[in-house]
Amino acid sequence: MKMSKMLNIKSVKPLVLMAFFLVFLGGKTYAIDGESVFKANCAACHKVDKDFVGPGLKGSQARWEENSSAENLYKWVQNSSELIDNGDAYAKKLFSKWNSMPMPPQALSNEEIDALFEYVENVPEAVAPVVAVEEEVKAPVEESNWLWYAVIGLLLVVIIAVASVKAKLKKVAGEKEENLEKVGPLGSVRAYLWRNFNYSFFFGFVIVIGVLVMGYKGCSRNIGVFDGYKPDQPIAYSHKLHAGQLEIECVYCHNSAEKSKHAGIPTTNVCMNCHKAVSEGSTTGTEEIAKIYEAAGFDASTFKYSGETKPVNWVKVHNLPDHVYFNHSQHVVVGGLDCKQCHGDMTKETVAKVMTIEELNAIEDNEIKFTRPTLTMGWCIECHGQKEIDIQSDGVSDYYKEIHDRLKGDKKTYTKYLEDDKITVAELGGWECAKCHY
Amino acid sequence: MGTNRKYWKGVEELNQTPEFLENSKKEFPEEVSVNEFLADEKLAEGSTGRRDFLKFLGFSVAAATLAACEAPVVKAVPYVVKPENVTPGMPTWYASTYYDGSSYASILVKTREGRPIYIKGNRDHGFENGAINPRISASVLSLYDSERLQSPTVDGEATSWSSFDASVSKELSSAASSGKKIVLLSGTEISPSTGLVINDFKAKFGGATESTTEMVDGVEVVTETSTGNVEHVQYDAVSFNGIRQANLESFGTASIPDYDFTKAKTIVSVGADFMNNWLLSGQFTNQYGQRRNPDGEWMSKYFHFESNMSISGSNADVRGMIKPSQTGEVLSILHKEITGSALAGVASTLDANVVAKVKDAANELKSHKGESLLICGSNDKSMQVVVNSINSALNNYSSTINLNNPINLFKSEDDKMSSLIKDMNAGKIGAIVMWNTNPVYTSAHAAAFKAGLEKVKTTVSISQFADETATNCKYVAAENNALESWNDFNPKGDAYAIAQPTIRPLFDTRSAAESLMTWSGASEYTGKDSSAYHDFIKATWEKYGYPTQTKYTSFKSYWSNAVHNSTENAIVKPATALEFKGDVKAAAKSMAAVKGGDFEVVTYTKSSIGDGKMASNPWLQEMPDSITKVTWDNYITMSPADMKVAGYSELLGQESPSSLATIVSGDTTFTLPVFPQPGQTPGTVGVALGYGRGENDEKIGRSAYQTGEYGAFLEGENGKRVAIGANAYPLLANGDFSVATITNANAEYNLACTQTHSTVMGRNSIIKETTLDIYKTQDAGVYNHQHTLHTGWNHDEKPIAEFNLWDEHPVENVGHRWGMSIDLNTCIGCSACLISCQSENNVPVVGKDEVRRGREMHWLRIDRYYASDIEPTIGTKGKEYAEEGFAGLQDASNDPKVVHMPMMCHHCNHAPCETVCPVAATSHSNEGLNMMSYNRCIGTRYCGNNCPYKVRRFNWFNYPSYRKFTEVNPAQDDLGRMVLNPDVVVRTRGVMEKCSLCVQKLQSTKLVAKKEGRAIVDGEISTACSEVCPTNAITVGDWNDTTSLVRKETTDKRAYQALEEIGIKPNVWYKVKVRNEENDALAELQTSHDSGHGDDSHGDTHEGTLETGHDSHDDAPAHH
Repeated sequence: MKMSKMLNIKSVKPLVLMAFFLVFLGGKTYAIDGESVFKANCAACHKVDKDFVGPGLKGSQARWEENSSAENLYKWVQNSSELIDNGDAYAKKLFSKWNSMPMPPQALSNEEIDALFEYVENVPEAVAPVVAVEEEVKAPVEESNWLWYAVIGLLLVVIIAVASVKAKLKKVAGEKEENLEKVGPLGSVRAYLWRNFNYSFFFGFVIVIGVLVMGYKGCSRNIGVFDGYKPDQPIAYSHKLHAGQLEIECVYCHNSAEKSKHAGIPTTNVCMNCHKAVSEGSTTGTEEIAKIYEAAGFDASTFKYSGETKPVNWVKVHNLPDHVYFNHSQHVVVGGLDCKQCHGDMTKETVAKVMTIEELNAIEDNEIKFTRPTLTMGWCIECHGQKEIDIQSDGVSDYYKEIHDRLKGDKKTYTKYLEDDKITVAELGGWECAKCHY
Repeated sequence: MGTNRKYWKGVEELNQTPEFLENSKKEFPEEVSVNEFLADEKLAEGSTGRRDFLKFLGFSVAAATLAACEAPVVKAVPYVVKPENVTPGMPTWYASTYYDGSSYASILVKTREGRPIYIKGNRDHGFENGAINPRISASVLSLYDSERLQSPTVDGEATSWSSFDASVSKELSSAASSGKKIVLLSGTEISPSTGLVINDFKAKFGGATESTTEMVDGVEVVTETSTGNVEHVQYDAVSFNGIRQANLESFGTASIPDYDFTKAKTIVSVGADFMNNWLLSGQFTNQYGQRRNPDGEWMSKYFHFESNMSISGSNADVRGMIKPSQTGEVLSILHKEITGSALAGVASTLDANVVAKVKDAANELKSHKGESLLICGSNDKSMQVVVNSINSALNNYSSTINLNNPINLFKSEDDKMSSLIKDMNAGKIGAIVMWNTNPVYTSAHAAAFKAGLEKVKTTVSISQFADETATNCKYVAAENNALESWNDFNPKGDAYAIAQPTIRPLFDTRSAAESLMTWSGASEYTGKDSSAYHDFIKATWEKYGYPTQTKYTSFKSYWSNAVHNSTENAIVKPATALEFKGDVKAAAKSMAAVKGGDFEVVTYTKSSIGDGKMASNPWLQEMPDSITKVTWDNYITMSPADMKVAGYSELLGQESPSSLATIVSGDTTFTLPVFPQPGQTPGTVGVALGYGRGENDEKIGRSAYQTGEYGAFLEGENGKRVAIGANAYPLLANGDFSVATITNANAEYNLACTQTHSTVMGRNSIIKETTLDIYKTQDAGVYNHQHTLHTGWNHDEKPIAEFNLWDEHPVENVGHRWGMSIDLNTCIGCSACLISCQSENNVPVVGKDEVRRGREMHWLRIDRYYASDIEPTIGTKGKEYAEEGFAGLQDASNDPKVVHMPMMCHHCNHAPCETVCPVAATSHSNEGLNMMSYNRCIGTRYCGNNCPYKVRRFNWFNYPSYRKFTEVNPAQDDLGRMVLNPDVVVRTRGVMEKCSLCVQKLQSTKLVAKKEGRAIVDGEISTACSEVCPTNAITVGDWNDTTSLVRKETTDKRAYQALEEIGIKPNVWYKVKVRNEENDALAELQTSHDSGHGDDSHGDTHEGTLETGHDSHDDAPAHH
């Protein structure tokens, strides 16, 4: 698709930074000057041994010497357009070969260029990168399901057994006299249970309670208890790698968190900003990244977009019921919350997960400690009840200044609010139903 | 309160019928069968014993437990490439323009994730100041009508555009070469670019060109002349051609002038419903509203003479009831009084009281020469000539009427249309191409048109639906919805506007102009994303628009701004005095020839259905009519007195169906239910146009058809779906009105009317009304009586506001306090707010049967009260009240005053609903909102019972999935669901819901301010209802902001809180209606009372005893 191509070209700048981390993290220190020159100036569009936006740089020095001159290579790097305008045949050829897209002039001295090519020619073959993910990236199968299968299986066996017994009994009953049927095996079981009423009642009671407890555990997700929820995802994405080792900011990908109610699941073009260059991962190889390419309709061998896109069907993890209104920007921008407060330390996780409160509370920086399961209303309320809103100090926004001025008009309420020396979200209405339900 | 008139909502309340009394005691109808909830009739057949029931119960609990353990997996699918202007979760607004052939407005379209979901008026640009009508607001739903044409069709078979275009172009070429005429038939076309497209079309198919060769001075000169056999005919369903013809005669220009109601101190309308559908009604309504402030420089005085009770008539200061045949007589009296010359030959049959009102009107007009306005709804040229003559004598052409800034809408060429029908039948037409018109339905001569169409070889319809006309055409070019297309408009004088698409076409459709361009070879159609017409408009604006201005220095910035604002506020040429050249004598002669009859039928268009274009829009069908409050139906409005004589049932209700009557006028016959309409001139009946759509089961949208009690379409005898109402367009053949005989069809029919749902139970204090004179000369206590309580040992009188039944909520100092003020003086009852609310808040459509049961879901209703000048006997209560209360009013039902009162949740600070909720599902916020947590609600409905305003709605069914609502509820359709507002939850069965004061909008406005680190600016807060009100009658804002407009409005001397006396402290205020009339009865009523006390018959009231004044409750104990 044209659009996607354009967008990617536009976003080349962040790529410089990204590529810095992504491509050469594993490189050994070699020809220090050349490497840093390469990273700072070239890596956005060039790879060493592979064609990218521009050609692979390995061997290019030789090619220039062969087809033009070493001197022209300096000129080319410093101002390619000038060289083209001056009518250098090789420069023109290169220009047209690479989609007539001029290479921007680079402010490099001849020495730096020499160092650059020395580095390029001598850079070792990619070795296994340091980026090694010890943990299995693939999300584990949701736990505890086997228990249910077992219970259901058992129930089925019982039902089938009972049914066959009943069928037999009927057959028998058809042949025998009526009163005999009444005291069939089932009847005797019933009679037995009745005689031992206390025992059977007790065990029955225990079983019922057990089923209820287990039912609650299993069904809690249905009533909005999602803590620990970590379903398989179509792509084995690793936050640990991206946010942890590569230190990419959360909002680089979840970029509407500061603008909208949705934090936003990164659109494929955001992935492509980096993955246009990074086609191979350290753990999963090309397999997982190929899924991004498939979604974006990108052919990694030709560097072309086919226009046939296929959105990724992620499994939504943080599910709030329909009747809850939640706004990320409210919490991130106005509330000034760190993502960690609610989402925990994602730099240690692979695919998205609803953190349990134990995990959230374990984070030292987290001001609010929870006692209710993550994403339940109690959990929200807890935070709103503890979180302070500063409306009194100098320099608060005019919005809160106005609120403060009004509050001063009602000494009684104000004093009541300040009993715990702080104004909480709840006191300014954060516990009111219509703040989240409408 | 007792210092007031007596108000009633409908004839059944006036008559206090047993059904009415019975129902008025119940908040919710009780005839709800259990089977209905089980939603399966078969279950009723099997009997279930107690033991079986327990077994079932046990099994279902177990099954449900097991089933529930399947944790739902929700998918989240992001864009592959996010569009630049979309942020998921954030709305994007586009300025655009709405024009459908009759309504015009500059609009703002709200889109979410690329879907248009809401339309409101554009208050920053355009000459209507953001005024829109309910149809414009509801049009966003029509975009998602799944019965729209999804591709072009030939003989009803879907085809591709390439083959379609090839055939059409070929046929048009052959028609052109055959020498027969090619006719382009459309509604009034006000697009300059489409005009040029039509010129290109004409150039292409102009037909054979004749060339003559002459020898002039030895040089061969070839002259080519086109035979011009392509003709563009414009035709409107409801024609205003009379005004154009009259202006041609009077002033030499066939135009419709612009009217300026802001300059008119006296407005006299003879049958022109200018607040509803008369010309640029949005603009007029807004202008009218600007001059209805009794504290303003001056307040206009408005006389209205009409037969039906129209929206405009219901708002008039003085309303006179005339028969349509007496229109001429009214004009004649006005003419005589103002110009001094009588109109010879016009009969005088008017009642003395009407004549007196007309003379009053004439005097008022005379005393405001150059500051007055006379308008007339007639489409008869001679009437309009007389109107012009009077306005000319009043010097109005240099002020209130501007012929230099003509309105370009309604260019219907009635003569051309009738000759077209003749030509078609004579076989003279080779091809016809139609768009934005539906003559097979709307033409008064539809049968002849249809017959003629069969004789035309090539018939092409460009249409969104396979409607009445399209199904009679061979080629149907599927058209875009307006929200999917580019267009430009020139609605008036030098005003130009742009419509921009807000969504990519949903189906394989294209705009009418693009179709014409393709056929004339001006462009090649490349599919949905074709920008041919867009480029054409741009070129037009570059060529003609850009050079005329100096503001922008590059076309790019000019064009971007034009699209961004959708319109520029054009410089208006001032009105200049004109010399009247009309022939009044001839007009008088023609007026004298108008003959009335025993029953005169007057057709009108409703504010909801309009001319019928959007008859398949369920929001509009379910919108209670502004006057009758009937939903989902067409009916005959008749004076209750006439009904009594003819023996029709005057009562409405679930158990009291209406009588059917048959109207016969010439060849036209149809049967409709009769509705008792107070204020209808005896001897006349009113029938709305726009109904009876799709009588042959055309695919025009599901909601145009009748549905049964358990859902599903009703089937007619022919096995086809049954249209709602009857088509009254054939009556237009008779001119302004038709003389008819009306006979009792001796059958019954159920109407779904909301007028007496949620009755006031006799609490007349809910409305306060006075006259301008009293308002100007008396203390506020006279017309805005303060309720007081006597307290303490010496019975001190204190205002009710000082008493609290419960602890007060700290709303007055803590943060915000959202308040609303509604000015009854400017509320005209148009119901735009109701539709806007429905659109913003996902209010479900419930269908006719449910409305009949009193289960409509509208969060905002507009109560329409009829008033009489006579007060109920003081102190009468209960039964006495019921029997005697209205006894003196029998005559009032014939000519009542009308008050429109929007009613929604009042967000009481001492809300009665909150205290009775057993689960605290409804509670109060420190911002003054009465909050509803749907998920906590268990549906006891106590709150509804306890609400004094009757504004709570119970969700009886699962509207988005239950089969009863499949045909009516758009949320049951994958496409219709797109219109839902994702920020507001779709409520489920078994919960109460109500107006939330658009809390989602309040919250988002607050959030924007917080994010920007600034205080909320007054005027920033709006609700769905306030932002579409054409007269700005609704003001919302932060009451705690002492400088806010809402604070000012609510502390005004006209401000009062409805039912304040019961101590509930609402956050909604009304402002007393001030009528600019002389009303001795009301004056006496209000001034005779000891102000502030109001009630002498009560004697001593005691400590803490609420003085209820004249409030009466059917079942209230008489006295304390």
